[in-house]
Amino acid sequence: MTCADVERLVDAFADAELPAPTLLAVARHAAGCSTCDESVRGLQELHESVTRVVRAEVDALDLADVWPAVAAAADRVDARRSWSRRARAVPAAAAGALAVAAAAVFWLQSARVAPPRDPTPAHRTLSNQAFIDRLAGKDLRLRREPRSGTTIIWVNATSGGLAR
Amino acid sequence: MNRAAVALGMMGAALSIAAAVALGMEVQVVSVRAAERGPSDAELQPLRGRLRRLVGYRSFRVVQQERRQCSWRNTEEFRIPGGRSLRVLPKGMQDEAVMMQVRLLDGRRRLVDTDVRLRNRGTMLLGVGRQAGRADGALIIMLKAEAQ
Amino acid sequence: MAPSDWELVLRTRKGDRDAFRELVERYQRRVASLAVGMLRNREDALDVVQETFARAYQHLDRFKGDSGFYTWLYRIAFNLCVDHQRREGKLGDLRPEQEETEQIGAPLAADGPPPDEPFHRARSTEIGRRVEQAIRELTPDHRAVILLREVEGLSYEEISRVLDCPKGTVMSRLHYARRQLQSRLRELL
Repeated sequence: MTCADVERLVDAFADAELPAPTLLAVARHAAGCSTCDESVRGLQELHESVTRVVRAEVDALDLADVWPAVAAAADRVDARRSWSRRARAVPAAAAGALAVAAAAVFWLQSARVAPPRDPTPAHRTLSNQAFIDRLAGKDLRLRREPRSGTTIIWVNATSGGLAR
Repeated sequence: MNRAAVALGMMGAALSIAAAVALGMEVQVVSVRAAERGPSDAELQPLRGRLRRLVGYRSFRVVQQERRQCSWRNTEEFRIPGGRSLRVLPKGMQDEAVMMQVRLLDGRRRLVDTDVRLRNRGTMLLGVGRQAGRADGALIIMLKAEAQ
Repeated sequence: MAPSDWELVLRTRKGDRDAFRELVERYQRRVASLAVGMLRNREDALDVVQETFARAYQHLDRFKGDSGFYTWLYRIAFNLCVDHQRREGKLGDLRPEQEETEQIGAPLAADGPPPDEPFHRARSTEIGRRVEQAIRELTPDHRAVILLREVEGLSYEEISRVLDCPKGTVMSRLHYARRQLQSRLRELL
């Protein structure tokens, strides 16, 4: 085992990811080589520093709200699943009748003249999409959240405002 | 007799149409106090991430809410905390969106005056920043409109 | 004797909500540890923790028990952290076209509260501050391997499953990240 070998293996050694014979060989080398021993200690110190910093931050977190929020989300999941199960439980006869009715509607629709197709693809409409056609005020800022399209018009309370 | 019946029928139909038109839309206005720290109301938990991304605050508490039927072309005024008011004038529908004029007033000052087309059953927000000398955070007004 | 993770998963699938609560309480701190290390602030980390378990509940049928439950959780949490980082800073400013419009488009943050600096209240020493700064300067991939190995104690195999990359890639990223941190800390201290 040379210093170059240890340099290559020191991470796996520190992480106990080496097979036992190799682990032992690295340990023996480091015991007799101050440079390699320093490399091993350096990784140990790094481990302690990183762990200490992150754990201190986690200790400052208040996790009391986690379960209530998760439980509320689980309620929504269960409600959606329950609705899906009820929808699937439509009796066969009713399902058959629905199928016949749907076929009749489809046949009637297809018998009509279809309107000209809009060449532009339909835009995906976001649930809170808002178009601002006119906006007046002082010190206003506008932001939109991309996922839902939620728009906020923000005004600075102290300097904003127009005369009525 | 037939004419009377027809006239009655037409009047009934006209009344139904008038009633439907007069329904207009339902507006819900929720005033939320936003702060840098502190708990959030349970009903706002699902929105907390989205609100935080939009406004940067992390605590949200409902301080006032009101739901009201509004007729088309009639202005409704909602009281907002801090001596403010929100005036909503529903104008009609266009392509699944509710058209309305929205004004946020602070006493006599017009803070926001906007014409907006909001997706039916959608929500838009107005925010009023913290006032100097007040430690009670900012105000977010959630406006939801649903055509009837 | 405490029930195993797999037993709790099976009970949850049968409708036992308390079983899932036990899983949440068992692992919320570990998921929080990864999230708070990956993201800029505490509130974002809490959002990710909540969303991680919400998704785990929703997709519990996909967990087959062939890896540790916590490995599967970390994978969800890591992906959420990556999604969150991608979304950050992508809120666009809008410019309505009417002439009455005034001063539209400035970023909201100027009026809002200051961002919560990572580890702000937790740093008790100057060294701690330097360490967190050095961690923050790593790329998300390198930050993830450091957190999963140093803080969470996952094996290389487990890390490779969480990050969905070969074990060799985990080892090389870890090697690089450690050298980067050591080098940066030497400069800062």
